[in-house]
Amino acid sequence: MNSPLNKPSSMIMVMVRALIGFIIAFVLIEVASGILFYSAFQHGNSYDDPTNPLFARGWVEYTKPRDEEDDFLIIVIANSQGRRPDEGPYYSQYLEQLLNENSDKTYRVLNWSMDGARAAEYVIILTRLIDYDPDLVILSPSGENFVVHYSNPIQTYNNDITRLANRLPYRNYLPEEFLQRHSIYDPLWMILHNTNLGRLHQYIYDGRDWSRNQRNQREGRVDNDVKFYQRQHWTEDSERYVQEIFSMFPVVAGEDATLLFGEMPLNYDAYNERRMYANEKFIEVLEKYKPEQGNLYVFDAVRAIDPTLFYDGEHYYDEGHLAYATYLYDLIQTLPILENAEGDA
Amino acid sequence: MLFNSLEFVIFLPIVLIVFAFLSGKPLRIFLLIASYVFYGWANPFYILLLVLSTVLDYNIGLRMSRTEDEDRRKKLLLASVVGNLGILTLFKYSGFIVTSVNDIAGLAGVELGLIPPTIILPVGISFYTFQTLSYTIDIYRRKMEATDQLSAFALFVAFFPQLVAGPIERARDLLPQLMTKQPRTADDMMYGLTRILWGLTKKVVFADNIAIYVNLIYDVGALDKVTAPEIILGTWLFAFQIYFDFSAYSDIAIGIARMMGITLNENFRHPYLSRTVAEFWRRWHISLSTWLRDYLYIPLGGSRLGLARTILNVIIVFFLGGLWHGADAKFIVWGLWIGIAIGLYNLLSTSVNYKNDYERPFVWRDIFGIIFTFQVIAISWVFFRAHSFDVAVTMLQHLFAPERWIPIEVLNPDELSAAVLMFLFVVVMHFVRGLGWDNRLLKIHRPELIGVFWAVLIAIMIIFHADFTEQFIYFQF
Repeated sequence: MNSPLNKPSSMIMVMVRALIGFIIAFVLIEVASGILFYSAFQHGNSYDDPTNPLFARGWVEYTKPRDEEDDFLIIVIANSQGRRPDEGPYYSQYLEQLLNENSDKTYRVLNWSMDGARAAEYVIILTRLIDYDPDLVILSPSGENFVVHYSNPIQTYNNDITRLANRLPYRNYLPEEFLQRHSIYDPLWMILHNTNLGRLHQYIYDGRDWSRNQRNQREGRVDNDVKFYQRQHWTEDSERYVQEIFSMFPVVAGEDATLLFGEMPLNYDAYNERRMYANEKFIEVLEKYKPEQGNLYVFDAVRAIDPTLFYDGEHYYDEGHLAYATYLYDLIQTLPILENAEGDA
Repeated sequence: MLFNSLEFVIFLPIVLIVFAFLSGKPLRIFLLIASYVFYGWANPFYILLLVLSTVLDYNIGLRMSRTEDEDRRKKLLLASVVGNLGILTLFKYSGFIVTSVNDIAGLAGVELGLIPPTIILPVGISFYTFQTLSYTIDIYRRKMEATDQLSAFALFVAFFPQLVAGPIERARDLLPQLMTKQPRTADDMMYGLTRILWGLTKKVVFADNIAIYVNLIYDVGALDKVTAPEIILGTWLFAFQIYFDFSAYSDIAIGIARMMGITLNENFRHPYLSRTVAEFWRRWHISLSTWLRDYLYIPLGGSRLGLARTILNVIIVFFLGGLWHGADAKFIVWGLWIGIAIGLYNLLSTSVNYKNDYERPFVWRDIFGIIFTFQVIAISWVFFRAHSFDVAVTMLQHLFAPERWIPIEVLNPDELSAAVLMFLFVVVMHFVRGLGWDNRLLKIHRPELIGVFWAVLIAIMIIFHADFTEQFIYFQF
């Protein structure tokens, strides 16, 4: 056959031609995957809210650096409870409103919440604090979400938080053991988390595993073959993240910054005993590992809001957002930090 | 080292680059060292076993070729067989033997209490043992000359592309290709790389994704709940999982060798298009089935000693074929089931004076034979995949329990839909490829378009690879 492939002398030329075809096709597929991936997210309000610099919907860097006019910067980080499905304000915005209405100073509250985020993702997102010099960080994930999939790959299907783990200087602030545990230096991991193809994979597969995991937990199955049946309970593995968060917080946020670390309000009427235990255990673990030194506080808001203010197990109506903001406002008044702010004023 | 590991992605280009600049003995020694590195990556101790087999059969081969004394040749062959099978027995069957001795003594009322040795099975030992045995047997049969090139023979035993899971090569095919550097064309490189990528796709996309559903259904913890339709679906899926998994390894092995100008034998020819069980074994794990045919079935008398003896020979061969996979009742029953099925086919085909020629082109009415054969093979896979013989029997009993004939218990509706769609997809793909309907596509000779095909395969792998990669199934043998 008169084909270039059959001539020994043309081997390098043929390989180069094939490589050109490969590169062009791969780039086109990568771009197409990006379009598919980013169009899959429908968080209609995540771009519209100036105080909600979520890491959702890809790497959209619209989080402003600290404004010089802000006297006091608060960053709240939570799960999907920190957001709402409609266009109304979040509890973070209500909190900002309450603080500003009752003071002459300017308070700004940023909401860095992430849907379904897990412990490892909170550790990573905290590294972003190095750019903000916050006065107060309120970290209040759901205890259940915090422990789920503690040993699984970090998800990227609904946020691009893992890019931080690859980026300098942020990566430098992650504990060495954390980097090892999550194979952050693994080239395959990097491909998976830094290409649109990889993100598309995570979007397709992580969501599926998540639902499978939930189902098997419900049924209490014991499986010998399948590795991804992680239990949604507290172990030494999951507790390690709490230790890491406490130890790295002063480093990334500054020695003067305060951390309020606790459990969000939940609709306790919608939870069974086992699920409530997973959430309430969170507080025990936080108390266990909270260092004596530093501006670190643990709070328990699990039963802070009436169940009627939830539209499901975890998410609030507008009144719920306001109630939680009020709870936080009252909590903040008890801390010594506001005295400094008012004092400066 | 695993083909689907990062280490191998670095290892292979280095080997191919150095390969391009060497020839003759230095090339053989380099490939030998590379093969030992490949094999000993996880546990260097096992290289010693390879060396032991190599030294044993190299010396026996030389001594056999230097004597005309039939008695001495026979003794030398016996030494090779005992030596090789002795190593295999020690590592693979000693636990089974000790347990069996305890059990038998227990039946006689004697409690021996022998402790089974805890020996980790060296990867690929069953494959390279059979490969080296074929060398001494062929010399004994005067089908080939012994080589006096130790480096060539050592490389034949340890050639890394097919060392761990085949294809099991005959010395008369592979050894001459290793003696001198084979000329390579651009076609070899392109074909080899395409075959490797296709093999990887089969493994990480098809086999590993199918494994998710098969593992759910075959989970011992789910045995009390699994329904009959789930068992059927899980078994059909496993039929394709093991095909994609095992043939992927062969594809990669053949592709790597081809990039060095070396041609390995095909190990699979679209087995689920077989019209009879006998034909299946001409299309499935061809290098093992032909090995068993040439070195066991024919010496036992093959089909020359009448129908009854033929059937018995087939059953013996497949019984030992089952044992080759492992010292476990489930593998033995798996082999016996196949042997009996082929024996029955021989009996029936003689009665109705019909013999299927597997080279005969397909016609539409073959679909009935294909479906029937697939079901017969699927039953054998229940034993192969189940956690144990007892579990396999329980699963088969579930098929006859009316209360198990409810739709789903283990899978949820989404998983069921995904599993069914996946099954239909792989069936269609198997037909399309097996019947050559994609031949026009595969005859592309424009390098740029082949490059595009590589990009598509890699993209498919990145997007659709299963998160939890299963080890190649045949590594356990």
